[in-house]
Amino acid sequence: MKDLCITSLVLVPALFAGACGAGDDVAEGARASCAFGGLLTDCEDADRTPEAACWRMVDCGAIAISNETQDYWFDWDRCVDTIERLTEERQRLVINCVAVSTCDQLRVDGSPDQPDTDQLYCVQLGAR
Amino acid sequence: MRRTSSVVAAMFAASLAVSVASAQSVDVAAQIKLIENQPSGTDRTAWKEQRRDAARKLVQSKDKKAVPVLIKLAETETFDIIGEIAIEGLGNLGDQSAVPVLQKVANDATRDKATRDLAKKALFKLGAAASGGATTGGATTTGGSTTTGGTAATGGSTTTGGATTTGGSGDDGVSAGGSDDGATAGGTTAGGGELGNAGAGLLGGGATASNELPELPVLPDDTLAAYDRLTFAAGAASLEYDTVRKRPVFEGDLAASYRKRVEREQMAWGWGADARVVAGYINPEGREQTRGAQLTVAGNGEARFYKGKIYGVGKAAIGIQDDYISFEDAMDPNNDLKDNRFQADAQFALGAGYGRVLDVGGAIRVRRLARVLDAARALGKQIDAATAKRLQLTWWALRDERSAYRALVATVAILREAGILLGEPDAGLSYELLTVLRDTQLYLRPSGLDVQVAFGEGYLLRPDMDPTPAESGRVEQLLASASYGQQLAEDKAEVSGTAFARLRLFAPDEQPSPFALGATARLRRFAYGPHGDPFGALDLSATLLLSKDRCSVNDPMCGAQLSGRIQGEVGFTLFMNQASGLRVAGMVAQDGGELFLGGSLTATYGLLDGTFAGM
Repeated sequence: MKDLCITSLVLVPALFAGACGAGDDVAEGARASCAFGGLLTDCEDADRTPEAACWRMVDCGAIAISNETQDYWFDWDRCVDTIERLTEERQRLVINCVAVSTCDQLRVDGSPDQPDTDQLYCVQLGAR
Repeated sequence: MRRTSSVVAAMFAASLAVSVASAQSVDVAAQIKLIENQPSGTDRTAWKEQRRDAARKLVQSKDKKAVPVLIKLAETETFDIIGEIAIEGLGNLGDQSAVPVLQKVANDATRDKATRDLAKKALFKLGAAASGGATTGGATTTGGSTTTGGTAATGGSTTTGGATTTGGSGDDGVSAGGSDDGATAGGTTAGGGELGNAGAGLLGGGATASNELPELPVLPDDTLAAYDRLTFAAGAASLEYDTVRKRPVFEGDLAASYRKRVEREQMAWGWGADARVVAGYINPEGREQTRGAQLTVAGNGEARFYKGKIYGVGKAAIGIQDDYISFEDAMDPNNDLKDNRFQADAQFALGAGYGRVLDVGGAIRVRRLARVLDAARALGKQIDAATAKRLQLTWWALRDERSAYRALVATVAILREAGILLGEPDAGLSYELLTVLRDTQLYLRPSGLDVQVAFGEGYLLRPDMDPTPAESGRVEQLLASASYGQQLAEDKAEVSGTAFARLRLFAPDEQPSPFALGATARLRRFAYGPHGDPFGALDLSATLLLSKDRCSVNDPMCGAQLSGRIQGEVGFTLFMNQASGLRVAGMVAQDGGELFLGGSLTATYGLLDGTFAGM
């Protein structure tokens, strides 16, 4: 049983959640209806926030919710941190890119446990 | 869940009881007595209300004994809307003995114009001329503006042998060619220009070309529902340059989307297309430069063929996405990156299902109009199906208007012409009608149940990745979906839900066969102010997801596991005034052993500027 961790209960005016992982393995996260199957299972764009963009990557099986085996693996937590550290215009680029990408475009070698960040196209667009 | 079921059951029982009650016969004698004699113990104001209701019931009774009473009311009641109810009712009852009185009213200059218009319309329904001329051959209307073998009403040209009437509306555009039944017969509408002018006159706008109704979309007679949505979104496109960093930055998100769907009794079909470009360019001083672009173009279609509630379905989807990125490192060319990825989908699916879910937002808007008119004592009769269709098609045709002016003018004209709106709307009623037309909470309001299972086949062109949980090449899959929607509490509450399941079939050894299933339930409650202004909305939803990526046979290191997520969200939006609003929202989710909590409170408060300038 993993520890429960609650972070970032934010009020006024900004959103939203936070997360942390604890334990010694990988929590992949459940998939959305559009994670696989091509356009026949297409689904809506994500909201335009760092958290929502990273949720979409979890929904698509591109990254895991948490990966405590190696701190540097790109999971939900690092995804949000990475985007929030960017300048405003780079944030918008990354978020827009993730929001409109198909799940197959978001998945890369090693997804979801150990995604090759050099192949995470949308993240590269802003983080380079 | 049990409580929700109980509420739904109770509301169903209540609505059933109302239906049974409305089907009971009218006690004509009692209604006549109520109209003629004020009951002891009832004050005059209450009696006036009861008389109006009694007059409506007499009309509904279709009993010939009601005719003399209604004739008397039509002739003598000049200061209460019961007179207009009677005039309208006489037209519907079809008794020729009412013709002389109606002609007298129609030509009585001391009566207001709205009353005279009603009398002309009633005469038209009776096949009589407003001017007192006799009708030969029995006037009937088809297609909205054609008279056959009859004599047109005041101001109209006479037609014989079924020729089409031209210029028949005279000065008001109400009496000729204005049958609400004919207005939408065959899915076409005629006489729209006349209505537009009539409505403009009612609201003082004058008979200008801009007030004429547009050509309405044509829908087959058995259309149950239809929509046509075009969205063009130019997101946060920006171009910046500052001399401090000497860095031009461009980023943009442009999108266009189109959806069309028609639901008919025996079939339904729909299609959609999307195009989107996300682009960025950042070029600081020096060697460093980042460029990226993402292009997506997709289209899809669906056709259903019904036998009762069971249907067969065919679906197809096709699309491409191309991602391009170019990064030049500030110092080391060896760190430069150029990447281009292209993917394409071509898929179809065949399956079967039960039922359908319709977007009933337009119908709710019509029902809200009726409630507004009823509350204002201006509802002459319930809005019939033909008028409801005509109203919704008019709003459809005017959906690209920046202003709601023409929609309001047309709505009033159609309601007046159909005898539904009694009298000219005053300022208060006009405002309340406008709030209904502008209500943005009436879009995407589902109603019905739909369950579907389909087998999908297709080809997915994907970049090579090894090893990954990717699908590429031929992909077969089993798809199941369900959706449900119900509007409750006079359309101020909505219960809806969706569910899905997906499993890949016949996957080759080097590819996985993931499955996923999930369901979402949502409750929305809409609140309105006393004059129909949106007051706020409560939304509550719960989601359950279960999935497993499953590993390919060739990937022994794969650690795919069963994953589950349960999530709940609640939010409330309150519109305090035109410059103030409050949004409170919270969510809780549990996924993969992790707990996510979030909350937000967004509040603004202010007043619109108060200003004065001396003249």
